[in-house]
Formats: sequence, C-alpha cells, structure tokens
Amino acid sequence: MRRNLAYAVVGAVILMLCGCWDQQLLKTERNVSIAGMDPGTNGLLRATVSIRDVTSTESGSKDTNEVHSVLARSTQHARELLNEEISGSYSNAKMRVLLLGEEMVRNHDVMPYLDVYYRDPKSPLNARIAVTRGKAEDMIRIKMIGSKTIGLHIDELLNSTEEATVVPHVNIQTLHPLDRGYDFSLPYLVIREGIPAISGIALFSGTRMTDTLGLDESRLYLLMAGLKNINLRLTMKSVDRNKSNSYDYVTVEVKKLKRKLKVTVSKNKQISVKLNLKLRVTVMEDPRNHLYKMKIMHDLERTLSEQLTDEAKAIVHKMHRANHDGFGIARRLMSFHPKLWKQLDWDKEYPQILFNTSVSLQIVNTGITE
Amino acid sequence: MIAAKDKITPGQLMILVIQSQIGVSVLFLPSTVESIARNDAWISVILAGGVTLLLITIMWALSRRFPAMTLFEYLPLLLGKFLGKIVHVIYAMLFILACSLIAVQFADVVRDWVFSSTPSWIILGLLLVTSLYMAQENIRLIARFFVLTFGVIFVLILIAAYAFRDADILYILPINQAGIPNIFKGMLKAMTSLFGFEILLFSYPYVQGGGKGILKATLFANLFSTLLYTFLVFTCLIVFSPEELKIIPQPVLYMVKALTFTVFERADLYILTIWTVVVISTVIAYLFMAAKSVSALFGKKRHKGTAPFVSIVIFIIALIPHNQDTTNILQNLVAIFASVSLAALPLILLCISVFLNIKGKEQAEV
Amino acid sequence: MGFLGQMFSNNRRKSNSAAKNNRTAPTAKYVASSLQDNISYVNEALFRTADLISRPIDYLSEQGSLLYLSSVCDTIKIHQFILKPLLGAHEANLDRVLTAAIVEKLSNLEKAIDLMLAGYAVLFLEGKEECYAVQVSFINDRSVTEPQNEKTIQGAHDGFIESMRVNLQLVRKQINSRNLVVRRYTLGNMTKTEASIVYLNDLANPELVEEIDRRIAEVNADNLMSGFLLLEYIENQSFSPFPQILQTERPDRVVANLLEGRVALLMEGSPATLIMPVTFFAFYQSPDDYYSRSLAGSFLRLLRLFSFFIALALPAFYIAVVSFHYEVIPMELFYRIKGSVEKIPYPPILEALFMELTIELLREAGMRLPSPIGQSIGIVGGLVIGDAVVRVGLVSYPMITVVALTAIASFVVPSHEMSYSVRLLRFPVMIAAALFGFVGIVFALTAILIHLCKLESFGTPYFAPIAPMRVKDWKDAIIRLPFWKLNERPLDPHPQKLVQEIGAKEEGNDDRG
Repeated sequence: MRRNLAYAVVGAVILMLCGCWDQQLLKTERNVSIAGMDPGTNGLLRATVSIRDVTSTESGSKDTNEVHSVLARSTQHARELLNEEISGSYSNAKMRVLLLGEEMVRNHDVMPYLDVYYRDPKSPLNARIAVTRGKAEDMIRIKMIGSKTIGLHIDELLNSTEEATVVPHVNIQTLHPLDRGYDFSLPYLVIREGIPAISGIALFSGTRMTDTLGLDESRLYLLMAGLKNINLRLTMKSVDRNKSNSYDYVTVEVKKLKRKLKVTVSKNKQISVKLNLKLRVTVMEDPRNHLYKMKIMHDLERTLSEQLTDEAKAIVHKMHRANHDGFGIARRLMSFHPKLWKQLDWDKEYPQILFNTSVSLQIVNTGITE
Repeated sequence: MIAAKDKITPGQLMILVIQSQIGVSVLFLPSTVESIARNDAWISVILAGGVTLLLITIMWALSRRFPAMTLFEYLPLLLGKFLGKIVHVIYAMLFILACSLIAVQFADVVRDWVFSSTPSWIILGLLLVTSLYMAQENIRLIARFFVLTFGVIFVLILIAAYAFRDADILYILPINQAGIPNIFKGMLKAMTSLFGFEILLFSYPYVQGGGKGILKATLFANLFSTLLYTFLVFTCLIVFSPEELKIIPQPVLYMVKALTFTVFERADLYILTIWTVVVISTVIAYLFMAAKSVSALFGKKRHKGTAPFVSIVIFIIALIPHNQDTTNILQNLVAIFASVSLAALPLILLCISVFLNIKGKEQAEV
Repeated sequence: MGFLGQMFSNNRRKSNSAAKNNRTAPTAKYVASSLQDNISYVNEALFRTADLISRPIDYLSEQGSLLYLSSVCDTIKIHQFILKPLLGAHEANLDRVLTAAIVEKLSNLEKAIDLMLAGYAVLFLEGKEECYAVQVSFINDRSVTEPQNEKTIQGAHDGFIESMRVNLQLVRKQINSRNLVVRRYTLGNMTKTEASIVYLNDLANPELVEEIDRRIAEVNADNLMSGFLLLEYIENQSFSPFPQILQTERPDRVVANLLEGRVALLMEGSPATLIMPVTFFAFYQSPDDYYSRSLAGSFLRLLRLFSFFIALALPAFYIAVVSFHYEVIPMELFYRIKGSVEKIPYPPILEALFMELTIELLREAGMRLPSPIGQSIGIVGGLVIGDAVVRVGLVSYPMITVVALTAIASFVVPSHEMSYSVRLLRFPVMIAAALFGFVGIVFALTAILIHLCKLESFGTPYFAPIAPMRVKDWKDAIIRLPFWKLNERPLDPHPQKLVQEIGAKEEGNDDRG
C-alpha cells in the first residue's frame, strides 16, 4: 500500500515537472488568414500577411485585421521576421488563402518558396492558392471589404466560384507538382474598382505561369478537363454570332457531363488526342421563348454545339501556345505508353500533339416554361 | 491443463492476431514498399500476405503437434535442453527488439507530427506504462481488450477512404513497371508489417475447439490484415505520385491532412489519435510475448512479475536510436531475427518433430 | 498516467486468515430453576441497563417474571399476546396459552438474552429450567413510498424502506415462485445486523451464490450497520473508481435483476439493496427504459451512454484543442473561440479546474442545504457566478459552455455511484490532456478501458457485453429491443437457464391485428 502510494506520488511529480513542451496556447497565437508572396529586390521575397482578430463583446463580435509585410530570404525566414514584428507568436495553421503575385509565378519557380508548407506538420495544406494580377501585397492591403476581412472575403469568393466551376479547386496539397503528369491552373484575381474579383484562371507550364484564360474560357476549360463542380452555367449567343442582335443570349446550366479523352499513338509516333464532350443542359434563360418548337430547340442545340466546339478549339490552341497540359495527356502517356514516354522530350512534343475536340450539347429541359 | 474458463474463442484469436499484426506500419508501409516496388507495391503486399499464409500454416502444424503446450514448453523436447535455451533466447530477443522498434517508430511519428520538442522518453514511458498495465494480464483479458479496440481500425479505414476524392487511378498504371525482382524485394519489406502472427505460438493451447478452427481463424486474420494493408497502400499509390511518395514517410497521415469535414479539420490528428490505440494494442501483444518468453527462460510460470522488468529493458533499448541510421540498424536487426525465428525455426522444428516423431504428451480435449 | 494505474491496480482483498478472535463464542449458560437467579443473571449480563423491565407474573399460582427491554418491545403487544392470555388462562400448557406468532422455548439463557436484544420478551417461571421467548418487537416502519433518488415517470412507485421484513415482502409479492430463496445472515460482531441474500434457485449460478456466501462469511467486523459498509468488504476492488455492486431502492429493479439470475442482498435498517454481480451498463439503465416504448427506451440508453463520454472527455477534449491542436477547429468557430479566450490570463487547465471545482462546490452546497435554500444556491451559482467569472475575465464563454454541458451530462447517469466515478475520472483525463493533448487523452482513456476490461464483479466481467464481446446481449444492454426480441438472458451472471421467453411473435406473423 505504502509502496503503491509512493509510486503514485513519484509518477505525479514527474508528470507535473515535465511541463508542456509543445503547448501552443490558442490565446497567445496570432493567426494569419491570408498571405501573399511577391518577388522582392535582389532575389529576396516580399511576404505580406493579414492577421485576423475577432473581438467579442456582449454586443457581438467585431472583425479587425492587421497587415504586415517583410522582405525576407525565404518563406521560413519571413516567418521569423514577421514574428519579430507582431505581438504574440506567429502561426499560419489556420491560413485560408495564399496569394502569389503574377510576377512571382511568371518569372520565378515558386516551388522552393512553398517547401516549408509541405514540411511543417502544422501547415495549412488545405489553404487555397490564387494568382493576382500585379502584386499580392496590394490586394492584401485592401484589408477590409464591407465588414469582412480580406482573407475571409477572398476565401469565400474562391469557394463560391469553385462551386460554380469558374475556377478549379486547388489547395496547397493538391498543387504538389512533383511529376504529376499534368500541369495545374490557378484562379486568377484582379482588383476591380478597389475590390478583388475573379477574372479567370492562370495557366501554368511546369511551375511557371504562361497564360491566362477569361471567365467564359475557364468554364469551358474546366468542362474539358472534366472538373465540373456542383453547377456550371454558360451564357452564349443563341443565334448565329455574326448577326449581332441586342438580346439574343441564352443561358444554360450543365446538368451532366460526359467526357471522353483518348490518346492514340500512330505508328510514326505521332500522338493525337480525341476529346469528346457531351453535355446535357437545362435552359435557364431564353428571351425569345421559341423553344416549344422542337425544330428551334434542335437548331439551338446545334448552334450552341458549334459555338462550344469552336471555343474549345481556341482554348486548346491557347494551351498549346502556353505549353500547358491541363488534361493530363502526359500522365496517360506514362501509364499507357511508358516506353514512348521515356523517349519523348515533352516540352517540344506537346505543341505538336493533334487535338481533335468536339462538343455536343443536348437540351433536356427548359425550366417551367418552354 | 488449461481450464475452460481461461480459454479464448477462435473469434477472439482472430482479432488477437489482427491486432498484433496491424501496428505502426499502417503509416509507414506504403512509402517503404513503394520505394522498392514502385507503383506495383500493392502486388508486393498481396504476395507478402500469401507467404505469411504459408508461414502461419507451418507454425500451426508445429503447434498442433503439441496442442496443450506453448512454444517454450516443447522447445526442450525438440532440441534438447541446451539448444532449446539458445533458440529460446533468440525468440526472447526478437520480441524485445521488435517491441522496442515499434516504440521507437511510434515516438518518431509523434515527434514529427505533433510534439516536436517533447522528449521521446516521456512518450515512450507513456506508451510502455499503459501497455504494461494490460500486458501483465493473461491472454484472455488481452483478447477482450483487443476485441474492444478492434473497432478503431474501421474508423481508420473510413477516414482513409475519404481520400479517394483526390485519387487518380492512372497512377497505378502501368502494372509491373518495377519488374518482378523488385516486386519480390518489396514483398520482403511488406512481410515485416505482417509479423505478429507469432502470437499463435503462445495462444494455441488457450483456444477453444479443434486445430482446424484455429488455423481458419488465424488465416482469416492474416487475410484481413493483408487486405487492410493492400487497401492503404493502394489508396496512397493512387493519391500520391511516385515522386511524392519518395519524400513522404507517412503517406496515410499526409493524405488526410488537408481533408476538411464540416465539423472538424486536420483529420491527420484524429488518425494519429486512433493509430495510437492500434499501436498500444501491438505493443501490448509484443510486451506480453516478450514477458512470457523471459519468464519462461527463468522458469517462471507467471509473467506478471517479469513484465515490468522487460518493459524497462524495452524502454532503454528504445531510447538508444537517435537518428534514422540507428533506427534502420534496429529495423534490420529485427528483420533478421524475425526471418530466423518466424520463417526458418518453425520449419526446422516442424521437421524435427515429424521425423523424430516427437509429439505433445497431452492431447487437447475438444 | 502512472498514478492512475496505481489507483486502479490496487487489488485489495482482505486477508482471510486473520484470526477470528473478535467473535465471542457464546457460552452455554442454562436457565436455572430459581427465578431470582435468572433475573439477576440477565440483569448482570446486560449490565443493569435501565430499559430492562422485569414484570412479576402470577400464573396459575406459579411465580414468574416477564423480562423485556422496553426500548425494543411494543407494550401493546406484550399486553395482548402475553399478559392477557396468561391472566385469563386455565391451562398449564404454556404453548397453548401464548397467542403470539413466534414463541420459542429456550433452555439456554445466553440465547434468551440475545433474543431480548432483538425485541423478544422472555418469560421465566419459578422452578422451571426453561423459558419462553415471545416476539413482541416494536415496529416503527416508514410507509412504502417512492425513493427520492430513483424516481421514474412511469411504472411502480413503491420503494424499499428500512425494514428488511417489509422489503422481502415487496420482493416476494412480485415473484410468486417457490424458487425464490432467502438466506439469512447476522452480521457485525456488535451491531448484529440482520441481512439476507435473495436469489432464484433455478436461475442464479450456484457458484456465484457460494462465492457471495463465502465473502459475506469472511467479513469479521464489529460494525456492519448498513449495506454500504458491507459493500466495501465484499466488492472486488475498492480502489477502482467504478462501482461494482449496484445499489437500488426500487423493488422492480431488484426483481428484474433477480430474474436475470443475479443475487440481491437486503439489510435490516437500510433501504438500499445491493445487487451483484453487475456490469458497467447496469448503471446506465433506468427502470424507465422498460416502462417506455422500445424505440424511446433505446434512444434514452444511447443518450446516457453518450453522456458518459461527454462527462468523461469533453473538458479534456476542449483543453487539448485550445492548448495543443487548435488547427482542428473549423475556421469561423476558430476565430470566435479565439476572440473569447484571448483575454483570459490563465492556461485552459486552470480555467477548467477552477470552473469544475466551482460546479462541484455548488452541487455539494445545494445538496446539504434544506431544499428551499438549496434551490436558491443553484440559481445564484449557475447564473450569478457563471456570468460574473466571464465578466471578470477568469473564465471564457466556451469553457463555461463546456463545463455546463459536462455537468449536465454527469447528472444524466441514473446511478449516483457511477455519477461520482465519472466526475472523479474526469480530472485525470483533463490533466493528461493539458500535458499531452490528444495523445494524452488517448492514453488516459485507454488506461480506463484496460481497467474496465480487467475489472470483474464476482467473477463476471465488468464490461460485458462489450469485453468480452457478445453482440447478442447488446439488445438489452446498450439498446432495448422489444421484450419479445429478448429471447435470452444476459450471459454475464451465467444464469442456469439462458432462454427467458419463446418469441412467438418472431415466427413470421408479426402483423397480428
């Protein structure tokens, strides 16, 4: 009995003495909600963060944030510098968005700067990534939009546009671009009248950004890549697009997407890709109200299909020019033609690939009117 | 003779074996096997399961000849007193080292993922004290506890299955890229994860029913573990590209790190928590076997008194490795001991038993 | 962790070889023929206690004396059963004269004195070497009312009282079986408390009954006044935080348990009946489950089991989250919690301990005070203190929420002993969480689980039917299926007959009517 008691006391004392090495108290941490990276002078990194605070009082809670910007040698170094600037200890575990300045991704390999995000066990791998036109710092310095902090605003903006399939769903984890066999694309943000807005997507070749797509293009691009999210709406001219008429647009919502991507290699090692999209759509808006006639509906289907096919071809062309393999052709070659893949110089080969793209569209219903 | 009250059912045996097999390697296996067998790692794991099946059958055939005895009771009968003692020491060493290795790997993962500055002796101490509390009991109580914690394995599967969202089946292709030799090498690596079935040597006389039922239960257990490992390896293979797997030592945790559920984020912390329970079970099994063999070495029938000392030894051994190199040495040591005592020795013992026709005196009552 | 283990592993069985020298062997002293000798012997034996009354009697010209202790005897009964028949008697045979139900003819004087202590009046006659002990004890019973601490909404509203005779009657009333057996004991060297174990002869495992009998017989103590004292002598592990014997004051609960093959122990002077062996889940069952519909009953049971986890781990989980793993909180909630914990000067563990101790204090204060004041303490404590500590900045709002939820969850437990256990166990888990976050919680909970797996109550596993796993028994332990589904009794007390009903309804004709 006495011995057991002694054991218990010794055990308790040891536990009490050892303290808590890895304690990170919530109250002492300062949490970054959005961070941005821009190239600085002399190969340094300009890191900007916005730290969000919520002060809750009896009358409710209030959002505030503060923006800090440092010139650092590396991402981790930036963290150290920031830590010397802010009260409390720096933490990015709850970061929601990482913004990359356009210059950063056009002229630098951004991956070394992201390494610490992959290495740190506490890092926010589910933070979204986006590219900004101009400097990321400028966007973060907006600080508040209405009653929302910039970090929350951009996060929600990206979330809703992801759901509407305007931009792809990308976070730091899915980005990890170690020989994935396809190139990634990121949401492209601009500041429009002082407010951040989506302007399309930025196409990457390897780890460098090479081109951008506009909003309409990016929707179709995502369709072609088979990345349709919850809903996707397309607004197009409903008659021949050369005859300009004031109110001739039709909006369709894609209900179902059937995508066929086939990579074939001919005997002389010519790679050709057949991409076939079949869309089943609902008409959301059709100002002319002629759809009760089957013929007109079929005409509309044909017009839209042709339009989409043309646009798709334009996108493929743009991708070729940008050397952006967003559909994972390389991955397919690796998987199905491993021998050929080993001989290829992919950067040279990719623009040579023949794309045969076609989009066909079928209207399945027209809302509660015809 | 063991009273019917102290016996375990074949179902309990099955879970006992599963829990001893599935341990730390749940997290490591995908990347260790992948490093050799590339994207054919899942084939290696299935093959490893097949080979283990064979080893289990040998072990069972050996145990069946001595249905009322544990390994250390019939070792002297087969090998004579002196040789028997040497083999006995080999087994004891295996269990102690294997247990230390598990503890080291557990402490490493905890250090890397949650507690970067907590000294590892604290984590090791917690692990061993908790396990010791269970391991000093008899096999029946341990089996009960294992059945109880068996459920967490399914939670593990459930969370891991969620990662299929980001999967790309193309990563598996082309099959047989690594080549057959590498697949076999990978199989040898994967084998170490399936060790743990040796608990059969200790539990055989305690299981109710005949030998057939025991074999069936153990084989089912092995099948389950193999399938679980294959599932995890397969999931990791299709979620990560081969280059990523090279630099991620614990892909299962990494895979779920970015998952966000509506009620919680950072699923890796929960997986780690659940995995801790799985590791505790394995440590309990090994600690039990180690304590049993050491106490048998000193001619003791009960292992309750020896268990604390054995766990202190394990604690000290587990404190030695400070870097990856020393851990690897320990790992290789365990691999050598395991292949000797789990593959070679049972076969030799079985041959001796068959050719010299040595059998257990007592027949098990059915 | 270590001390937790120590706390659990303290298997304490009394060493039974202790000399039984405490017991005074009754010396045989026979009734003398002289009346005066007998009276003076009794007087000396009772040390001339003031409540010993000696009433001289003239019976058919024989000199006699009636001796009794006025404090335990009913004077009306003495008058009615002894004096009146004696004075109007014409017969010499006393056996026919005395009209009381229990009359014993004794020659052992010591035995007679013992009976006097138990409420007998003893009649000595001059020249006879025998005496008559007549049971005339004074009965002052409380009425059979519903126990305050085990109220149910539906179902029977009777409860045990302090008299074992009444309690036994309540049990017998519900089980009209000749298999219902009562074994009687007299416990305590000084208190000489009556106790009895009750079981069904064709159900209860004989080994179990023998084991209980052995443990009761081994107890050698002066004071065994109440069931609670005895409980600690006969339970398996006194230093386990979990109760291993169920105490109840409800006859229906006792009857239901007897019908599962368990054994009940009743004691004179205490309304609490001990039921053994029990499992962990018995403490989470309430008779209400059986008086409500099966779906509702199952829901309530699951709710209570869930409350076990909340009461045990919720504060620990919160502490671990805010001091180690705040990453797991979803974003919006994260900033809210952060906003309210920011200005708190103390670490979360101190915050939690402070608040938990405050709640325990309030509970204790409310319980001790008379009920009108007790209620106001609850209100003052709950509202005023809760609000004030937040305003002062000692404790944050989330912590108040967590602690309040935990307190409510621990009130849900139908059994008081289990409620205390959970409240106690919470603290080690909280400390483990404050030291090692989630890993600490896992280790603490695993240790508790291991303890539950190891614990046994009279040879039956305490954590059945989960460890050992027996899914068949879940339908009456974890949920409550309709009675016609419960074909078999729970296995844990190892009853002699497993089948308890033949489910006629299951034979494919569910739709009657």
